[in-house]
Amino acid sequence: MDFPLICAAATPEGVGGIAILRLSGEGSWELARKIFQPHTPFDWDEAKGYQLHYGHIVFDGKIYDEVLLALMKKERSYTREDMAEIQCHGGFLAAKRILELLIALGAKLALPGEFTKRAFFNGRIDLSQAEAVIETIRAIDEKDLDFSLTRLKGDRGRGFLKIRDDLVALIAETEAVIDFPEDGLDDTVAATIRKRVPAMIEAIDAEIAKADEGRVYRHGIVTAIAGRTNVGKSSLMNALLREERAIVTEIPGTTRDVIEDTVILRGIPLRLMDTAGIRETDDPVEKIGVTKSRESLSRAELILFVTDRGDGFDGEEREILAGCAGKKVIVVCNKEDVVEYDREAAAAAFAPHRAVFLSAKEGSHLEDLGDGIRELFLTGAITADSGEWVGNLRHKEAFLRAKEHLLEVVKGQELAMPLDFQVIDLRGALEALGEINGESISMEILDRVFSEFCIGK
Amino acid sequence: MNRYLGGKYDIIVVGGGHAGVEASLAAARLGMKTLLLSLSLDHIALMPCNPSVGGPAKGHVVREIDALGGQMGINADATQIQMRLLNTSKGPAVQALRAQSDKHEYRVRMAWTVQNQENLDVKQAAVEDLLIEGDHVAGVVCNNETMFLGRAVILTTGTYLRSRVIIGKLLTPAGPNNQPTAAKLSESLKDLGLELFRFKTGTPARVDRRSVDFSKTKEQPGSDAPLAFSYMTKRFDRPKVPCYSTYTNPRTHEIIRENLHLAPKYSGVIEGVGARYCPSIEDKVVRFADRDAHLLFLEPEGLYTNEIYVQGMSTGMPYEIQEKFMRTIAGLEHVKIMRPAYAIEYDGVVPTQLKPTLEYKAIGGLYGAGQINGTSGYEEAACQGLMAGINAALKLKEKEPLLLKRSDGYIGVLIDDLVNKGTNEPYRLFTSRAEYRLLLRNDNADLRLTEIGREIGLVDDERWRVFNERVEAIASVTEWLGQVKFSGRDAKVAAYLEEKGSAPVDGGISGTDLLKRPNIDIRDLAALDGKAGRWRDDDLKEREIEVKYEGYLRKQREQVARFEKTEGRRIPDDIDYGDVSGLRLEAAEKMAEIRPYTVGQASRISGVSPADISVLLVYLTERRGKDGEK
Repeated sequence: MDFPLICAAATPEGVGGIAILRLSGEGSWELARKIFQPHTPFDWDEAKGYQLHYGHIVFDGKIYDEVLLALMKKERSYTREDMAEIQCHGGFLAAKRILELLIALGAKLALPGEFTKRAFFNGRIDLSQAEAVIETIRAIDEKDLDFSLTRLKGDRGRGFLKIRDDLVALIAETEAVIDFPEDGLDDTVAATIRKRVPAMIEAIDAEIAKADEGRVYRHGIVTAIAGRTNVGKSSLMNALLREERAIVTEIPGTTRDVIEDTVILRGIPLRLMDTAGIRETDDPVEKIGVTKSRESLSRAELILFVTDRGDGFDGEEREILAGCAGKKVIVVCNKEDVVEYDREAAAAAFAPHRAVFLSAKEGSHLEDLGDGIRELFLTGAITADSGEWVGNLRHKEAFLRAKEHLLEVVKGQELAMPLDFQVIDLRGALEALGEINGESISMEILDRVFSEFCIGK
Repeated sequence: MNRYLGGKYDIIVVGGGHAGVEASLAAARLGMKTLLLSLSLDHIALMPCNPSVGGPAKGHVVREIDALGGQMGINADATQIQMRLLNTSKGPAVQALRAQSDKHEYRVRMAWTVQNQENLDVKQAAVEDLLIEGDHVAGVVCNNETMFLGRAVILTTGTYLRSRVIIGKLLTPAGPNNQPTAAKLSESLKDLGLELFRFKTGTPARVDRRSVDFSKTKEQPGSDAPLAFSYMTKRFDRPKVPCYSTYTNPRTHEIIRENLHLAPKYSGVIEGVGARYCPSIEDKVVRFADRDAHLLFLEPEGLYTNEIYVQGMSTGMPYEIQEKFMRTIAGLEHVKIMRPAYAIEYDGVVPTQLKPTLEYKAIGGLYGAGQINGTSGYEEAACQGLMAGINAALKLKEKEPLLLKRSDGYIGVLIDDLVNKGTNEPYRLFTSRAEYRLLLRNDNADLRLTEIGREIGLVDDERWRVFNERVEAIASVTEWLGQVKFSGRDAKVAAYLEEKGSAPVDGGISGTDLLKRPNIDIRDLAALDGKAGRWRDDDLKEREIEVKYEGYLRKQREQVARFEKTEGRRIPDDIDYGDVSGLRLEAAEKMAEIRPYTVGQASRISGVSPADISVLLVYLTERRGKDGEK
């Protein structure tokens, strides 16, 4: 069995305080070493397993998160392979970014149950557990089967199917020219590749954008509300939560358990963070709220920055805003019912952030906020009601690999690589796509060659 | 019936076609007392179809046969009337040699080789039945009231089993060229419990050279370079004869369409399954209705014959229609047919009943090779004959069998496909069937396989010496490339780089690094360094490919390493697939039928999913644990 390096989040996706990412397989330490900058340097070659190292995930000069790293040697790890576990901040953003980084650096996203499967094959799990492993394997198999049969058939999967079909056709044409040099086929296939591959890359990009956007719809946008005191953060929260009043009771303290609420604004799920914390910041007695609010800011993807002035940020606001670096920000000019905004001037003053004007208390123009968020997060990759299939993170990963292969083809063309080398990456791309719908390609190419090209004696 | 015992042999080969000659030569050369039985001694190594050897994948196979000590390459070199290297612009992995053969010389020379082989008797007889003892073969029974005892029997029956020739509505029970058919043997194989299939193939008409107006066709000359399949070939003084090309036209297609009802495929007389890559002209006209021209090649069949093979013109139409539509074609306006095109149907034995050694699982000592296994083509047949001959001999010598992997060569790909997947049409090799194509090249076939051939005992001292010379030459090229420095200040170097559109060099650059650049040719580098003519082009080119495409080749070698891991995982012979809990019924049945040797082989059986393989691995791991406890 071939066991490549795999990675996955070991903790459920969500807003737990900490998320654990797991790497397993040959090279997991090397990969961890590439991206982990320890606070206290240590000797990687001499490192013992089961020790926590404090530091940051840094790659290409960019700091991803502040983390704890645990290294485990294969002799004593769960999978009986070298493993690394990264404990990063919870919520899906930090974890997602690091996971995507791991994938970009060569790890494969693990299938459900894959760590356990490896643990079994590497002799870690007792044999009595074999049945359970088989069930896991079967369940995944059937899920995939179901997936390929129902979701990708017909119109729903047309985007994906077209890419795959174009690729099969292109490979078939190339193979026909290679295997039948004396059958009078048009030998313009190099030019055809040059013409068609960029279009395929574009189509794959669209699928990736859809997957990204699908994630917004599926998981929502982690949203935090920020601003000075008394600008109406709490009112905005309440206005957004209007539909879900039921969970906000009159009994003090009950909201403290609420970690997040999901509201749907203009069709987009927003996961509003740290309700309790924000409420507390409005309470003049509870000053610690400021700290809590900071924490929630670091986990958010979107900051709704509430203000009641139209002439740009003041000093305190700039300070708060500094904690929002790298996030998408919408400036909510609240209290439009009492403050007279010069909208043009305000928009200019808050640029490059987008400003929207509403009254949380009155509940007016919340839809403008929704539109602003849509514009910020959606590219229109998924059109409403198209019913089109949208890939998940695993599919996105497969698309990314397919794209990588196609980029190699483009590079190969620039280097005037011969046809038989270019086919390698065309086939690689097709194999990556095959992981999405579980179809094998071995016979398909030849079938296509015979049906589309006139060959033979 | 009283039968005369004609003799006792170690190995009996039934059939003297391309599979049969390789099988009997290999067996005899490995010291086995061998008998070759053929329906007609005038048809040893007959080329009943195209007068050529090689082409993509097929040419690769001929090189592999040669490296293992087989005969096809040497014979093709010695009887060629033109040789070409195909696909030169499409990449090193798919370049392939193709020889145009004098088909009569080819046959006579091969028959002469066979007749003079030590340990090998050649006899004319039709085998009608097999002698079986228990579950093992013991010999053959012939039509002339004789029988021969053999410890192993290799069936290389070609298209002769219960064969039937079809021209239009005319059906004749016969083999190629109206040879007698072997109908009884087909029956006795069925009686042994073997499952048979029925395939169809065909061959185009042969026309009279004197009736062709070559001025209306395009000449296709061979290469002037000294090309050869075999490194044993030293003479390159064969006469060179050109081929010619022409095209069909709308008028041709019209006549074909008007007479479609007379074609056997459309009139319904054909039972056998034909190959999709070998469509008849009527098939091409129907399926590719939008094309108003199809390319044809006129290939001379030899130096001492006027027969010309019309490549691309296979048909089952009646004689009259054949001549009628051919006369619409440029150059063939007054053509005279010497032999009409015909289709032929024949029986074969379903190849999934074979082990990877080509021995039948159910009958010990009985082997099948060539078209009987469902393949098509002289080269495909020859390599199977060679492997069956080798493995039958190794078995009798109680040695480990020779199993070539998919990563070792096209021979490995072919046999692996046949025994695991079977085939539902005559199977031909294509380069696209090989997943490790970049490594299985024409230029390195000898480097891949000669050592294996030596170990078995088929590579003689002379071939071994030539091989080692080549290995040393290649090593010295590598050494030179690493050491030589080309200076940007050298005017000759600068001029060369400019001519090739390559960036100028600051200071010095090593030969290896310079060679990695596009458009840079290793022969030019050797000349720039004053070493023109020091190495053979073959040796330089092999190195050039390895250096230029090093990244791709490394990736492919990594794939091979992963593949070989599962290839190494043996499945115990006594496994009961019904015992493997969680295995889907379909997968269990398939595996029980094929009985794969390794997990890798199991993974290639059609109908077996990756999840089934995981389940199988769970079982094997569990079992190993239990066995360990015992």
